[in-house]
Amino acid sequence: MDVVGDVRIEPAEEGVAVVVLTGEHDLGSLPRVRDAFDAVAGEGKSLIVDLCPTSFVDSSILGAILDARRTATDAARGFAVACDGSAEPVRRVLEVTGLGKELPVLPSREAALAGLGGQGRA
Amino acid sequence: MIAEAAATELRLGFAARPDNLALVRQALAGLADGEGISEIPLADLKQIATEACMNAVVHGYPEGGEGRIDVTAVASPGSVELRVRDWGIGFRPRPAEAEHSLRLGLPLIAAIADSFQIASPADGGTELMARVLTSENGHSEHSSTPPAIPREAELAISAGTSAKPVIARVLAIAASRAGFSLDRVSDGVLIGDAIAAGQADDFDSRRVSIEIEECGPNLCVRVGPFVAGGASRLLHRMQVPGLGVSIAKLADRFEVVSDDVGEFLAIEIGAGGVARVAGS
Repeated sequence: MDVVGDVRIEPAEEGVAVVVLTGEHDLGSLPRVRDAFDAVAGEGKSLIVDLCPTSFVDSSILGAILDARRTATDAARGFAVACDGSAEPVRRVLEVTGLGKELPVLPSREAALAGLGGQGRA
Repeated sequence: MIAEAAATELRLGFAARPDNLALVRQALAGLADGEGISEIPLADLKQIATEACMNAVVHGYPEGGEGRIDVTAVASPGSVELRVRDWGIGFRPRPAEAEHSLRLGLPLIAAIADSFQIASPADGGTELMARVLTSENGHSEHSSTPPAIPREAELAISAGTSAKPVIARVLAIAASRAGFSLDRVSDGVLIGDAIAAGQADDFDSRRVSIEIEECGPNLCVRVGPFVAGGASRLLHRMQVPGLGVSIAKLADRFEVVSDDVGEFLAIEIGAGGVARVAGS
């Protein structure tokens, strides 16, 4: 039972970083999540937010993801979210808020990387 | 002794701090384990509780202030009722720019709860109540039909002293909106007064109910339902010398109509003309 939210930045292709959220994330982990997003933006890299190992997100985390997308888009850098839908709370919140279509959300980290192809790349 | 399907109540009180939100979710997950609540309703309960507690943490207490949050979950057969209570400054308007990323919280709760409400208890703070259905077929219970959309507007007020000013004002704005001259707006008000002056016993449930719609350039007002014979009695009172004469002159048409709901008085107020009484 992975309940403690962990935030990691993992390198991917050149100019791309993946922020992996493991476990549950809410207002308690929000500062660490924002710091990770800011760090990737600070390095001028495109961002993939990997929610595949995430078991819960609240609206404060969704807000941070939306802010990160805005930052990336404004700087003409790529942005994508990976979510395989294996965690019901995450799948459901993306569906209910309409963010599953809006963000965009792709079913794996690989698909998200491929999805960056059509966007601005750092 | 008769065995009842007892409800299980969980209560959790904690300091309003972000790192305590995880406690709530784990307590709910434990309740779900024990009560056999499946994954989707549990996901909904966790989301609602987290969003509500987050609102309490962020907005419930003055910045930097300490406070308490109480979460109660009552699991009954088929549903869980969740209450999140703080003792802070209460639910109040906030400028959008002060929101940061929390704009999604309440709409999210509204979208996933089967019902929810927010209260401002008399002794302060805010209480959010939400119900989540947990039975397999629970979601099919949402089959009630909403009330029909009025063609324009419908209004009901208990017969009595407030009926007259309420109906007068509503008819006046409806007449103004329909482009009536000031004189004709005043006529509408007088007609409203005559309706409001009806005997309470003549109205179904002792409520004066009116429907208003624009019909061409005119205003059509349907009053009722009345108890049997009530519309006719109101009509006759309008026609007695004094009040009755003025109504006859002011309305273009008024008639008693009946359908399976009951008896109604249909009045058309327009650009003028001598009233003709139909159907009486």
